[in-house]
Amino acid sequence: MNIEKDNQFVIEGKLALPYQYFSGRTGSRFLIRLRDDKKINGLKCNACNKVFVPPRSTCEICGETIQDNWVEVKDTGTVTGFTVVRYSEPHQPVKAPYILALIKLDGADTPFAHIVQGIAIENMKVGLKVKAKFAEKTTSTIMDINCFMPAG
Amino acid sequence: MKKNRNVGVIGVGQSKYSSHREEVNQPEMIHEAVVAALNHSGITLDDVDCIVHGNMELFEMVHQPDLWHTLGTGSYGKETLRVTTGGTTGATLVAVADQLVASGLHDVVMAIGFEKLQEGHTTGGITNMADPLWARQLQTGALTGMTAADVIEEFGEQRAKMASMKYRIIMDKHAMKNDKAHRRLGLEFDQAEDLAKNSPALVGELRMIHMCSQSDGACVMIFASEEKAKQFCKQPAWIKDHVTVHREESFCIFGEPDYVTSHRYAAEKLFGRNGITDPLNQIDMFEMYDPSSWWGLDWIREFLMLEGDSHIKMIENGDICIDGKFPINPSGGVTASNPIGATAMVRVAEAALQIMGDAGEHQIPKPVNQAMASGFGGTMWTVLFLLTKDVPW
Amino acid sequence: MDNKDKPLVTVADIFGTMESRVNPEGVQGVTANYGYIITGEGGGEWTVSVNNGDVEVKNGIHKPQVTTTCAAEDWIAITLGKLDGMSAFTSGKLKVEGDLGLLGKAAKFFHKYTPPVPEVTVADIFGTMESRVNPDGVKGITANYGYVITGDGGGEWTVCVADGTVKVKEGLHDPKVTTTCQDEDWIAITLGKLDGMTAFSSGKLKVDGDLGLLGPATKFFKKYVPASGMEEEVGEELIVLKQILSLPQKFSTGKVMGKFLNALKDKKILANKCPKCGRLQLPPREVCAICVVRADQWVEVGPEGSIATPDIAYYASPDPLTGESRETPYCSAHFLLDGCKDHETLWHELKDEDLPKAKKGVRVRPVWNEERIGAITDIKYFEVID
Repeated sequence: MNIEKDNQFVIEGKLALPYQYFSGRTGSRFLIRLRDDKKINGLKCNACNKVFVPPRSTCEICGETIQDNWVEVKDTGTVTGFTVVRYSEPHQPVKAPYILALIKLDGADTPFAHIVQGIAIENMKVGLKVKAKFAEKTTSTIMDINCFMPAG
Repeated sequence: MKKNRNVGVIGVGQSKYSSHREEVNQPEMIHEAVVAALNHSGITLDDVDCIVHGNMELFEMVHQPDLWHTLGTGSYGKETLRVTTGGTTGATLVAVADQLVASGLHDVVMAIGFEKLQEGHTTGGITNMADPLWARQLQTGALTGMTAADVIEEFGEQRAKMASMKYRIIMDKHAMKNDKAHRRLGLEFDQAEDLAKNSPALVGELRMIHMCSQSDGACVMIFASEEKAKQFCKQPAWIKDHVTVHREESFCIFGEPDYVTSHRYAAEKLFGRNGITDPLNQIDMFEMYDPSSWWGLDWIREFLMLEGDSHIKMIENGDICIDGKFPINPSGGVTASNPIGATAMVRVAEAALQIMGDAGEHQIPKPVNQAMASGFGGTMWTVLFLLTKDVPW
Repeated sequence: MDNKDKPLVTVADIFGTMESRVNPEGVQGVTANYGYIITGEGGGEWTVSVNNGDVEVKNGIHKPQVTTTCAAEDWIAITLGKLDGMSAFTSGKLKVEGDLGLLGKAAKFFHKYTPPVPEVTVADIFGTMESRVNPDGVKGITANYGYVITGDGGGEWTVCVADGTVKVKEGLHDPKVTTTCQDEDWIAITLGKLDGMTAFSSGKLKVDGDLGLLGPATKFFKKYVPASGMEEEVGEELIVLKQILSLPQKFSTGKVMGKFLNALKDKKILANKCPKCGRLQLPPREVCAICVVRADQWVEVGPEGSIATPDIAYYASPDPLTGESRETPYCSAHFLLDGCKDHETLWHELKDEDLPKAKKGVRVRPVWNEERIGAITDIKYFEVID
């Protein structure tokens, strides 16, 4: 028997700690509007002429403060890229396999990540027109949009 | 030793330090300090070549925040580095920025340190830094009463307790002059007896009043090469030299016999290569990373390479007050404000402000030509800086 | 008015409204009496009795497990959020006797105290506008803004802005844009309790005329403060995401730490020795970090020894395995085991019952777990040898 090997073993550990994340005033306004009015809002940088969804209080390109320039965008948009999640992890919002896509909403200049449902994986394509399906039970998170579904 | 080229601090920006900042998220809070630093230096983001960003691992339970903090840091399209070395993070950020400019790789570098402690669990985060095989279950976070026990054993209970309380009250009086400071309690010297007895005990004789705060906040510093610094700034604070000292993690630093602390070791090295033989007269002020007033008291002796009780006398005589012979922490120090990933940077930033003459109400009422600043972290890690008013090399 | 002479917020009102402000989730599972001695003018003594979900507030002190003493003005400031409770505690303004651990729970017992609000009228909002002009906000703007506020407390007003000067007149006078709104909604918007944009999009607030003029109007005036001078907290909702990060982990011991941990199964404590400087390392390390050489000699030490430095923790850090706070106080200490010297100490815990005996030099021995798995917790704790 290899004594050295006997002395090399593995101890199981766990890390469990509470945390919280503050959305801030800008993030809160976006989430509250989504939750209460089922409307999606972005912030516009007038210098760069770009509408950011989700919103940010500062334009990352030119550094301008844009936190008061709210604009409403549509709940429809276009898929600009996607991937299929095929493995399961406890933290995932839905059961694998599922489609995680980048969606550029009509009226926005930045795509954001969300789940696309209601289409077979083999039929999924870039350029697909989609529409937001809002959650019935709200949680004050981005999951107040349940998912996006093919439009029309 | 000689630097490849001189590096000057040309701008400092700090958010207000507070126990809670629910109205801003992480990148928004950082952005406040970025804007303040750009305004102080009079430059724009276009002038910045590179950004270094850092905070404590695990304290907010988020990973690689430098990616999504781009919104607040202004790092879009710029070289960006992330640095995290525990409590010394802020000091290491300064060291890295200094090296990036001194090397000639970049002309203007912005360093960002931040923490949003309300979002995470500080003590929990620290507990997880301990070796998981044997030390995790024993780790009490950053709190220990062992230093207090050592000081009490050496100088007697009454003198030790009164000196550490006087140190704490001086720090609070300094914080009252600094509107960025988090804890401004308005303490008076006649409260010393009462506080030493009645402030809630945390670990041993380390009481709540002695311990640093847990703060949210960000600090930003802008560094420039000599040519650019002179172009942008009337009086830059020059980074003359810095020393980083690490030591092994498992060593018990308390009890007997005495050993050379990483602070004394760093000071010896820094003084040696900069011709400092009489630090109390050759250095005009010191911003010290003082996680508790017991450590603050004890470390004066180490950093200034003193012997016996002369450090206690400095406190008893009020030498460390803002208008004293050797001012320490006119900002109020770490017991007043402690956004951990920024804390060690705030020390260098405050020393720089003193040299630049921009410290406002807590500006020392005598000329500051040479200043020292320290960072502390891990089991016993030290980063020690020397800043000057004249171009050093 | 009476209100001007008498402070609206009294300590009696804070305690008097407690039962109506109970947060059922906060008091669940808690049974304890909390005593409060509020000193100074307007003070008094109260006991908050929490009995697993039921809360009763009584006058006087009745068998409290924890008693808080504080001056009336500080207690009011803490309740209104103007003074941080922790700062008050730290600086000695708030003193606590008894079971400190109970206080953390108390922070969640009650919903926020709202002072009796003086009546806010639409007329007062418009009447104070000229005194609240924000010079930067009105700069460069010339336009008349009409307001039709409906309901019992309503009326019609025109805010006339002419490049920096502002006049507020009753009635409508050539407005370029007119806002129509219910009185209660207008008050809610002014106090920040209703978001203007939400009111607009939900039809509660209607606008006729040049819509573009409304954006700048949000910056015309400084915040409205109700007549009593009692500043209302801005009621804007801020979203917080709360989670517990919980991840399974695995750590490889390596052969040096593995040998140390394996030996614990046989109730043996092993240190290793640096061949150069001769110091022992406990727990052992593969190298001596000072001499930078492999430390390959093994020495059995202890198991008995003495306390080198005791650290009694009164503040609970969370157990990283569960996220739950530990019981306090507990003693973590460096033990100098027989065969070791100077800083060659082993870090572990002292038995809770031995806390009063936790002094330097006291002899100790390890207490082993029945079932040992090769982990540092195979030693339950050290205990004092009497």
